[in-house]
Amino acid sequence: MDSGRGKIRMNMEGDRLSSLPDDLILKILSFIDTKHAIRTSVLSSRWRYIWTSTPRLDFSTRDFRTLAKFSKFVTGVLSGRKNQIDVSSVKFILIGRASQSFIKRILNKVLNYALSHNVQQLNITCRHGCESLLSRFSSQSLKHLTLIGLTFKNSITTPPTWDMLALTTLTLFCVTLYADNAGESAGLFSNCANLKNLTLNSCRMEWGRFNICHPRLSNLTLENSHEGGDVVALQLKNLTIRNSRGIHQISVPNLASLRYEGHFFPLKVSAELLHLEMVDICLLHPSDSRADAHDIVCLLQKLHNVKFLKLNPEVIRILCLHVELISHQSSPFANLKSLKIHPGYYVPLPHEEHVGYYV
Amino acid sequence: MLKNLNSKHIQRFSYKYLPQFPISPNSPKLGFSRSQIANYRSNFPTTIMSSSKTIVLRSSDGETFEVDEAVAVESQTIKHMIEDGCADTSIPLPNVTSKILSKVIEYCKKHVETPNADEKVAEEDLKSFDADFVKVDQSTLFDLILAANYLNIKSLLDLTCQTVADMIKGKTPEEIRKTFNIKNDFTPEEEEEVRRENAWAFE
Repeated sequence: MDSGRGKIRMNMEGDRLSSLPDDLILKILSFIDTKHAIRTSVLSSRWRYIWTSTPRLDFSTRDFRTLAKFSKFVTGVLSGRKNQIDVSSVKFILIGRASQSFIKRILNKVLNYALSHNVQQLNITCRHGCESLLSRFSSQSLKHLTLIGLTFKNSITTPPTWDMLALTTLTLFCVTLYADNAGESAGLFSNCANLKNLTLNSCRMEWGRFNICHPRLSNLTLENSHEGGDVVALQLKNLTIRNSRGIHQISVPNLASLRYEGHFFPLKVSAELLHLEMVDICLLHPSDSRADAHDIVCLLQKLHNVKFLKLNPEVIRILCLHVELISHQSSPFANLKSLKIHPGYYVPLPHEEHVGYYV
Repeated sequence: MLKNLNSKHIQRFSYKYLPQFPISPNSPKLGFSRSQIANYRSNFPTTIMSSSKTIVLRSSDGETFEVDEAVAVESQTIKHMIEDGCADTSIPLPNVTSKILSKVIEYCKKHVETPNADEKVAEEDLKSFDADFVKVDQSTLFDLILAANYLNIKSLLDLTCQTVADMIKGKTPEEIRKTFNIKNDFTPEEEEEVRRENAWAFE
């Protein structure tokens, strides 16, 4: 009896989902991948053509058993979609064996469609094979770009001469950048003047050293790179360097937060970091040599206005080993509010009180 | 000195410090309006317990809710109304019932109290709050979607839409129809045609 009454109540409420306005249904569909979103077209006549206005497209070979089916899907979506409607985000994932010509053909189709429909966010995961397409990248609407090459060896290679004035976020993973013409490049991604967030992870520069010079850059993350480089960014606020070998020359007077993790190579800071407030230094396996300890002390001495400092036990250990370097100097940390130590394995510290005095 | 204070002095004193509070014997208003209290509070913060500004929201069924301004401006709609100066007495929300409005206020309060969830604990706590928040019947869920859309609260709209999307994901069309009571108004031929049209999505 109860279930019967329940059924009647549900039917009286009716179909709340279909009675939502179109833009809310599209918003809900944007949380579902494109393939399943298109399947809603059989639900009822109301749903038949809603998917054609979806602003988000994602194509992934993971969802299809063969490349031929994937290719048919891409064609079907691009031709079935309403042409006047812009896309806001396109995601393209191609994993698995595919011939270069196939990759070129399909990526060309997707990129052309995206760029001609004022795409704002583009996410491409692909192996090498798409160099020529990416090198002629030009878009006035693109704001966020993510390129993911699959492995370090099979990375996407592309010259960084894109022409994207609106680009604010760029993330590259396993990408090899090479110079179009011989000689030093003017600066990485120099045509993207509005770049605010840049992340380079496992990227390789063909000419050995990178040169980042951006007036508006405010967040920079460099991870897993073999080369050092120069960073000149007047408005940079947050800098994160992880597992990067090579010496970095940084000129970032307005830096507010610095995170350094990895083997220690001296960071050459050209100007005083007056605004630096948060520092997080995590050194893995530093050598016990005096020279390294000296470099560490020099770096710590530059951190005048630091308020929040986080170190790992290795740094403390080195400072204790070479306590003579710091024992007759006053502490540079005039404004320190908090000092945290990364939890790690506990190393017995013989001269804790010296370090405590320093800090 | 107290002896010398007469009503004339008090009147002048009040007029000087509360320009928006005219004491006229012919004034029909009794009591203070909310903006007058707020103005008084802002001029004499030490005499009142809390000096934070509060906003009054009125639901479609006439119930009023007093919330901190910081909580109310989670809604971009309310924020713009305040900035445009339409928030003098109370803000009417004719599209939101009191039941839904109280839930929305609960959501905004929680999210304002947990600023930049930097700490892991705070982030986990917020996530579990969100997960419990959407464990409601379908009718309430859709009302929340419409309210979040009308009030322009992005995080709540994303949360509720994601919940509905999770209910659609992974289901066959028949199961989706059953879950949401969608009436299939296709004839069998029409349905077949649609499936053929989009066959590449049904692979």
